[in-house]
Amino acid sequence: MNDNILEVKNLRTSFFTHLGEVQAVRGISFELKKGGILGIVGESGSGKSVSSLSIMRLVEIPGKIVEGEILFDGVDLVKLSDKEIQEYRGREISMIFQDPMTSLNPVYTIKNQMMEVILRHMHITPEKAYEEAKLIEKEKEREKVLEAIKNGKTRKYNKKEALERAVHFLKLVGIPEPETRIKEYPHQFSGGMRQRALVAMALACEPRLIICDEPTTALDVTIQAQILDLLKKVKNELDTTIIFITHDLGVIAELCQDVIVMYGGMIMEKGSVNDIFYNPQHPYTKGLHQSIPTDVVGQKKRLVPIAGSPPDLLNPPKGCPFSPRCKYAMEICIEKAPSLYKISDTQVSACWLQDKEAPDVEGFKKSGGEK
Amino acid sequence: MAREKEILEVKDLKKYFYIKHSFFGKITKTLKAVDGINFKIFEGETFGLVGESGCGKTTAGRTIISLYENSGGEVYFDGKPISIGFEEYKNEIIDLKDQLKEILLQIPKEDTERIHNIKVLYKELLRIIKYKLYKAKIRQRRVKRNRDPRDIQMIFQDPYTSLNPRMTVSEIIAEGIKTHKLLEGDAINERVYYLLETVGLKREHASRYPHEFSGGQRQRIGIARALAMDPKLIICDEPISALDVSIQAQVVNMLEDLQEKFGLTYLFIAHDLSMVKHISDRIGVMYLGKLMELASSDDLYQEPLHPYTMSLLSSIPLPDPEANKKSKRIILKGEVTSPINPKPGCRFAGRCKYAQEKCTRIDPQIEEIKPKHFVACHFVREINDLK
Repeated sequence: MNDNILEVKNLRTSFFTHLGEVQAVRGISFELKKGGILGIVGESGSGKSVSSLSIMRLVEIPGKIVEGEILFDGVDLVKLSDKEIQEYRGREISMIFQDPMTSLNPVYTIKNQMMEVILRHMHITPEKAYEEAKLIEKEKEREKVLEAIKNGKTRKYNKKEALERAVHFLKLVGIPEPETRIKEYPHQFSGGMRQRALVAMALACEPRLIICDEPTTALDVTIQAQILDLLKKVKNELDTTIIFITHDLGVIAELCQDVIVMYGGMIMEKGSVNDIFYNPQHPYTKGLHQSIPTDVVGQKKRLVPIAGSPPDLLNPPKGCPFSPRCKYAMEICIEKAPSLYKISDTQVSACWLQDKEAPDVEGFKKSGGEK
Repeated sequence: MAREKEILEVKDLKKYFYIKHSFFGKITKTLKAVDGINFKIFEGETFGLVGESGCGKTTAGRTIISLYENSGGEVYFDGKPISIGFEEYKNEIIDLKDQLKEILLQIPKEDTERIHNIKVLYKELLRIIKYKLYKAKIRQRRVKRNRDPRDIQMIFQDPYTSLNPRMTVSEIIAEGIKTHKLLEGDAINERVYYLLETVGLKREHASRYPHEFSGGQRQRIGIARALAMDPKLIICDEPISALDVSIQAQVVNMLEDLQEKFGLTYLFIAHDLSMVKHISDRIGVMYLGKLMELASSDDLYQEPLHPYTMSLLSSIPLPDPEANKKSKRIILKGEVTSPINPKPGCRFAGRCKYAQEKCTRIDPQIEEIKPKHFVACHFVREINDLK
């Protein structure tokens, strides 16, 4: 299983508030293959943002990762110290947030903020370091440097190189006149430009994994189309892996290859984009599809909403989190949460209807066995 | 459905905001949030108003209901004018003064006769505008009597800030009834209970406070408050954008049911194009304070004629992976420009790939290109290969 860049195993994250424990993420597991785009879709409070923050280890007090493993290239991020995780944040894994205005520091220029990441993390390539080392006149020093290069340690970027790199990435994301725009402050950028600058910042160290937490939710559709187009382009150019979190099924269909549907802190269904859109097996996924309008010209279909409201994570339902709103709910659903049933090689679904002993309901397949 | 009777008519509606007043109160910049839009809404229909953020759709809604005093143009409800704007004449006075200054600069000082003539002409023009301003002010005052606040009600976007946290639900819903003295005593409570049940809440909820409810339930309270006045027209200002997908469908279905039950007319303002298409009979597309295209929702989605509408519709990601691969996306360059002191000509010219020299000079008027399909574009016929 070496082609998995990220493996999350039974992750639980909770917030310990004065009202009690809010269980935001309740035991999720998934793998992410190198080079893919994984979409996580869910409503507010479904735990999609908290699980991504957990991967970055950015959950703040009173939040805490209670249980679970997050294996990034075989390294368990949960066990790393604060100092060690710093080497991963920004360098190996970076994040693009929802609101471009609040995630940029308003008192620093774009240049300042972009160079900070690059100066902190980037080392020059061994080839370049070797070229430089040859020019050192004193023999002792030169040997010292060459020794370091052999051990894989090269010097960090200097300011001039960092600026060049920052400008290069701003150009890549399509900011006009990056040489002059880089000296400006975030408020001088428009919403779409700010989001582009954030993408550039996230890319600046060529991370292996980029987590996008609703990056287009605050933007207009025409700007959203620009940013999605940009993400596709840079993904191909830089060959990174992307986790894309959103509540918009349309964006998922457009961008992602694999999809995870979350609800109440748990994974409801997981599969390829075609599985989720053309052959959904979980009542919640089906419900989501029916709640968005898919009218054909000339005739209006009435929407089929999901009754009720999302669960209170302070007192989550004992069984399946969706059971209070599910029209197929059975006794066992309220008592015990189902595990993931295998539907096909690519698709799993967490619903008791997939169990062998469950009654037959039209539209739901039975699973061969538990995963 | 009979769609013949006009319930609302908006004629050349304008709303300007003035910014950067100098020390002596001179206006230096004008933000033209809504700059001359025309449309009619027929009884019993749902009229959708879409556009990107900053296009003036919310301002248009708020100006129609007189939350903002309109700067120019007229609004008719049931055939009677309900608001008439006069501020645009103030703008004209300022423009005229600027023009005079420019002209005087070009004329040599020795030419006293010409200067004198120009000044006389200027004074005459100024008098005409001031007279118009005076007339409009008087009409505005008269027209205000025609306004019945019960006729038009509004549902706001954010269910968290549009309900007073210190009032109970029954106080919120009954406030309008009490203000207008529609009912008295126990009848008010009965009415509140009836409204709560109509929007799918329970009687017990009446004595609770807004913070005890979820987003979808709060929006229901907002709808009940609007219904309390027995309105004819409800302006829905992005009523579903703050809600989750599964809750959105609940609210949209309820709005449809209420429309049928009470014979309501909706002005539905939103940026979620697929939902607007679902709920609306006719749709107007706005861009930077101007109406770009107006047609029935099927026509608009099937055959958009304005280049802006085309790209706007093509940039909606569809919840269907195969259809997404097939559809051709028209990605617009650049972003929405500022509505502060806009350049002359078509507002969309800067981002339009068909833009020509004429577009940057002359502002296109909205005209009927096909039956009941209005477009504001100089070259709409050439772009779409029409006669």
